[in-house]
Amino acid sequence: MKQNRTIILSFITASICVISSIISMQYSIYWFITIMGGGVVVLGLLLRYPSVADGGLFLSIFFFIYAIRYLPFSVVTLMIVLGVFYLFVTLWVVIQREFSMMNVKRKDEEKNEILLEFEMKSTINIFKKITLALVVAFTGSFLSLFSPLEVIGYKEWTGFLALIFGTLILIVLYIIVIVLPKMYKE
Amino acid sequence: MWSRFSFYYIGFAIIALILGSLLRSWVFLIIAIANISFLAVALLGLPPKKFDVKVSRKEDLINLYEGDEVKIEISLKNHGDDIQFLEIYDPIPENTEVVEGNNHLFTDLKKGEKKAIEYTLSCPIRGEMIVGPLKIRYRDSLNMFFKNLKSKIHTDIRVLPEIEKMKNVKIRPSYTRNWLGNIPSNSIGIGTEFFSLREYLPGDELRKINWKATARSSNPITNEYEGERSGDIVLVVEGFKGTSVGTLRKNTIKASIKAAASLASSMLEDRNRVGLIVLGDYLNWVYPGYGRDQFYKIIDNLSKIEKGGFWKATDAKWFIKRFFPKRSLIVFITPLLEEKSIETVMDMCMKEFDVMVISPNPIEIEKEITEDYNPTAERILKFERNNIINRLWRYATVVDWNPNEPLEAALNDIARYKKRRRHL
Repeated sequence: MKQNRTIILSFITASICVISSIISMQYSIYWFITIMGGGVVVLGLLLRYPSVADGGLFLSIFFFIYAIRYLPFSVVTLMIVLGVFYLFVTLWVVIQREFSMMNVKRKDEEKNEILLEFEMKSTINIFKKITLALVVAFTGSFLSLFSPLEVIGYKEWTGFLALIFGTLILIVLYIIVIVLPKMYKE
Repeated sequence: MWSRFSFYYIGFAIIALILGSLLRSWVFLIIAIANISFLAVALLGLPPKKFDVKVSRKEDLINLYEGDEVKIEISLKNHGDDIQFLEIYDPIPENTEVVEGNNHLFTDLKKGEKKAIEYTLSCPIRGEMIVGPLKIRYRDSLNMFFKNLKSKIHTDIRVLPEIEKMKNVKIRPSYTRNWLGNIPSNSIGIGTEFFSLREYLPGDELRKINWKATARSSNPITNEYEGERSGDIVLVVEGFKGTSVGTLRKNTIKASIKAAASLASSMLEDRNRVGLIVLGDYLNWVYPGYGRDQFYKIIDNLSKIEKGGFWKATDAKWFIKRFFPKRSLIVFITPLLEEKSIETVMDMCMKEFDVMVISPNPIEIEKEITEDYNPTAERILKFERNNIINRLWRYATVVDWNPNEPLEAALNDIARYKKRRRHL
């Protein structure tokens, strides 16, 4: 059962890496490194080396972004970049969870309701948080890139400042609206 | 506490910001924003402010026998805030195995909620072990934050050596003492077996009068009984490193310990005084004594045996001569792999010690675990072993015991053989 899960996860990793390589293929000659990174992740998963899997994922994400660094800007490309990035992030979180749970004996997996319940809850929680992060990131990017400081074009440092400005506003808003009420609820 | 993954994301965000500015790429800047957003959302999973989980265990000390299984029961109560994701790990000793349930699990714990953890542990190797203390870790679903809590309570497990119940075989010392026991002493005393008749003397119990003999002789005649006494027995267990054959789970030392524990149990039931000398990494000894307490003292010492190379059979000889009662039956439990052990046994027999040797057969153990079995090698080893045993038979009773079979059967064979020899 545990082996099946690893194989499924490896298959998903490989698929995401292939898709992102196809996206980046027309923009850079470095597109294949994303697939290589995926291969390293699969190797790490199968051999159960967390650091190998982490390294492979970092390689894949970084070279995917590097390959599409001069992608023409539009709302669609923005969504593609954020979408693929969060796919990688989700994959990383799921792989981390898988590694941390690998030590748990699964002899009686079918019977262990506590573990199954935990898996279900954590999966829901992961997807909720990732979706929320995606929404926040998309709004933040949109705000910063279309801000009145004329970011599009990146002629001067104004773009960089706009980015920081937009992100900071978003974080402050987020902390005031979501985090602080939760922390001081008691 | 921030996990290393949170630092990866922070680092990635910084790299993306720098590269975005240097390469003038909006993609890198967007990734930096995405990373920061992700970190901000991850803040939702900060550890609870009040993280207080009380742990209690059903038992602090468990005694069990080798090969038995034990149920570990732990209960948790959350005295703090709601905990969404909790990792619980109860460390178990190296030589044990979880056969049912889990000692490592992930769960959630609401405020004031109680949860019970149960798992069954198999303990195939004797010794003293500690289960726990329980490690509790809060971990958010994105693996960005964690907080540890360590309980101080643990369970001590004492795995006692396996004991074989021997009902039909009795090992009896040749010399008996003056105290009561189960060994017929061949002299008049307190016992149940009829020995002789004598004239009635004032003070004799009425129930001891033999009425038929009284009627025949016209004088009152009293029955006399054979006194039943007990003796002193010293068990010497050899744990010398060089004599250990087999794996961790099956070896000659384990077999020797099982034999010693079984003999001690049987001999103490017969009301003998039993002592123990353990030779191994350290020399440990128990002076002969009676009863249940003595049994536990012996078992306790046997469960602590560590194989080692310091104390040898020659030291036991010196020790027995100086500190143990004279004319005790010395039961040497040794695989007979050391020439010095064999010489010591012969030397002790010549110095009028009453010696018996019980030898767990190392060839049988080796045969069971070896992957490349060689019948010629087995024949040579058996031949050598038989030579040693034949040499020793001139001085002492030697029991060649196959540890895969019950000890009682091996002792029975020897008892039958000795009986046959007596009748010849």
